[in-house]
Amino acid sequence: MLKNYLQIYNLSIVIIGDFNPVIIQPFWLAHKKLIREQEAQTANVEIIHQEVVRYSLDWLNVEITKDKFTLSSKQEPFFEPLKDLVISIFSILSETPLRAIGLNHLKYFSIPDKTRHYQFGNVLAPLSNFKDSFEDPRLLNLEIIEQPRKDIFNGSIRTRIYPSDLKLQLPFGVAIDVNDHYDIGSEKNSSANEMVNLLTNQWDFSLKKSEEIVENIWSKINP
Amino acid sequence: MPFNLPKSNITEITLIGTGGGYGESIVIHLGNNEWVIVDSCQNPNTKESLPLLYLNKIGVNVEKDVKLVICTHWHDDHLLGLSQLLQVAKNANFCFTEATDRKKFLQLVGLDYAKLSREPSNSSTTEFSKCLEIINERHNRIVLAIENKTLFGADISPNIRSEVIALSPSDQTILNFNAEISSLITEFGESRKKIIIRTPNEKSIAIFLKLGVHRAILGSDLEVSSDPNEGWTNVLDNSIVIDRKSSLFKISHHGSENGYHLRIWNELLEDNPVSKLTPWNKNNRLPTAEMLQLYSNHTDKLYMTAPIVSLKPKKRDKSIEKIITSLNCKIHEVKYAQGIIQCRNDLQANTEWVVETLEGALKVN
Amino acid sequence: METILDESWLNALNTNGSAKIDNDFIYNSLQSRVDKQKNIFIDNSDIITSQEFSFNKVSEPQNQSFFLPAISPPYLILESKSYFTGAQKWIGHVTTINEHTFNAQLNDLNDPTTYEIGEFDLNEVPPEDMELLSVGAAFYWSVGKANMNGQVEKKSLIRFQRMKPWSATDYDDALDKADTLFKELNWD
Repeated sequence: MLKNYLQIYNLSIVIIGDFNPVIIQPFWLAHKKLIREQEAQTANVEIIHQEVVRYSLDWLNVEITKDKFTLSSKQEPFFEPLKDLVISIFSILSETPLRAIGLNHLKYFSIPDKTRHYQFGNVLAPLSNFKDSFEDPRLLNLEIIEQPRKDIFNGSIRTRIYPSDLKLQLPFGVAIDVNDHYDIGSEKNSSANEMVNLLTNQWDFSLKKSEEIVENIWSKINP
Repeated sequence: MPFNLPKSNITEITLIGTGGGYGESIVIHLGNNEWVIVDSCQNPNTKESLPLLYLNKIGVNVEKDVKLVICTHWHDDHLLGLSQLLQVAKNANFCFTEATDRKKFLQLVGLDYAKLSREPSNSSTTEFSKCLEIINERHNRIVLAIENKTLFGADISPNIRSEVIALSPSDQTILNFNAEISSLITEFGESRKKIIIRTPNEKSIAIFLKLGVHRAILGSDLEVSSDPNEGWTNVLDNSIVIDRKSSLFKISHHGSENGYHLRIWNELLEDNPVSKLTPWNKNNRLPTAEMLQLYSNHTDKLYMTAPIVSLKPKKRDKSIEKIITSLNCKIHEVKYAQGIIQCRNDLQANTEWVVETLEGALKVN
Repeated sequence: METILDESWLNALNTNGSAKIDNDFIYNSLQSRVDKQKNIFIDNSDIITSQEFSFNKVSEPQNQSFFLPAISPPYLILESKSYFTGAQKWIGHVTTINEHTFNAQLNDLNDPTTYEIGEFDLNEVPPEDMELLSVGAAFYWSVGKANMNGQVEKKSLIRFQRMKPWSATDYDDALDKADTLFKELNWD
């Protein structure tokens, strides 16, 4: 199974809306008991500014601008705490106007050998189709989208596949990025409550969907 | 052929139980395609409601013929999958323990549900809340159980009547429950933990069945209380609905010592009754060997839904197993096993129960 | 360290969902990172190779590699400092607290079927989480191998769940809902 070759899993929750970045600082989170005091004290703060806030804890990266809120982690044990944190922040800041939420599952795989690495791309996009126009065509990036979604939500599910840009254990690396995107409300801004309920109810689905997509791709390459 | 629909003059009391503490449920055919379901349990692998699965297997029209669903008490192992069942059983009313202050009871349920709805939980509260929502949407009836109350009755034929009657909880238990609800609401603080009802077993609904000429007692998780106005002692001393001894007994509280009273066997049950129980296999195991022996002394028709299995670590990827071992982590799996003890009898004839042990169920002696 | 492609991908969320990968942006950003890294880490072969390398927009790898590597080997590949993948994860609910240990019912998050019972030493609980330890409290437990700044370590992590504190409004909302239900239910 492809997940046996999974080396790095970067999960990020990205929310589009109208934010006041300076509110959500490490000490605010600690004061609300959403993170440990010690985590706030040892946070690596890059910038705290009314336009942008960027800092990291041992397990979490935070970047908030006026219109985009991003929390991410590369440590699987902290994916559920990350979700809890998002839910809690917007349960407290329940009047924040939000427009969309995306759960991004960025997974890096170390493919064990050159043959299977080649096969990975060749099955997805046979380059023989391009040999009439290109002498030596290569695949840079493959993206598949389903929009509108087939469930009750507005939004899309996208998968992007490209060569790994992170140094992995083995040289034949592939990144698969699944973006599970939900539009919130209609054209107007909607309350944070809708996002909180959506994230709570769709969390398991989103994790499973990203796994399913990865395994389906692999099953085509290794039937 | 056990997996078939009983005829209209054949009564059925089937205990569906699991080996691990994954719960138990009882399906009752009163006759004439009238069914009552007591509690629910779920296959943890498939998340299917086991009583619903059984009813579908034998060909019951669940939507039409299930008339009452009873939640005997607030414990995960009696509730999981109940809303799934109720969703299909469109004709069914919903029965649970009476609370004197119904509004306060709903407030408690609502508060706990609101707390839990944002965390991964398959707790009894969320299941119970879903049941209330389903019943409310349909405007079906809520039947509140208290000692000596008939929860459901059906005239099967001009000569045959079947009834489902509550033996518990007692008035005293309900008064105490009311006080407990108040204090739980008051204590409801900032913590993220779920509300824990103290001693839910005392509030559980033990049931007396009149099925034509036959009588049966379903003990739920009712225990022997130190207060004579509660639990089994109250049933033995004050029940006014038991008109004769029962030939079938669902042993209470997984065969524990707390659920045992010699007077039950002497005063409420015939000699050598068909007796069945669901084991409990979590941090402690029930029934103990001593209790099994004690029950065997009372009857040679003792049945269990599944064997009591020893607790071992869950099988995992070797690399993870190695890490768990190296870190000296002490965990063991509560294994799932399932069994069905089906009991059928002619409503009009004084005949013996026909007992079938299906899937993992076994006869103990 | 965020990757360039992450940044452009995240930007794409702002453009009504159409992801546009700007290749020039990627190459230019990579080049500037290379220059910066060279100055800082010229001798650190963990980050980039110590060889001098050239950065080409189009490369001709010697093997039949199907994907186009954006640059020829040796690549500029961004190093991910710490990550923890493939963990076995549970959510636990505390059932009993003893003098030196506590017991919990554990639900396997990787395989949510049968549950498990665990016994934990109290000293496994991080000091700041001790105030959250109580019967019924929820916690996350993970076991596995983490890569922390290049060092592979076996880890067992307990973290008690932290959620927004209950407010008077939440309380009132739940009671209001209960009151409505009380009026609407068809009582016996």
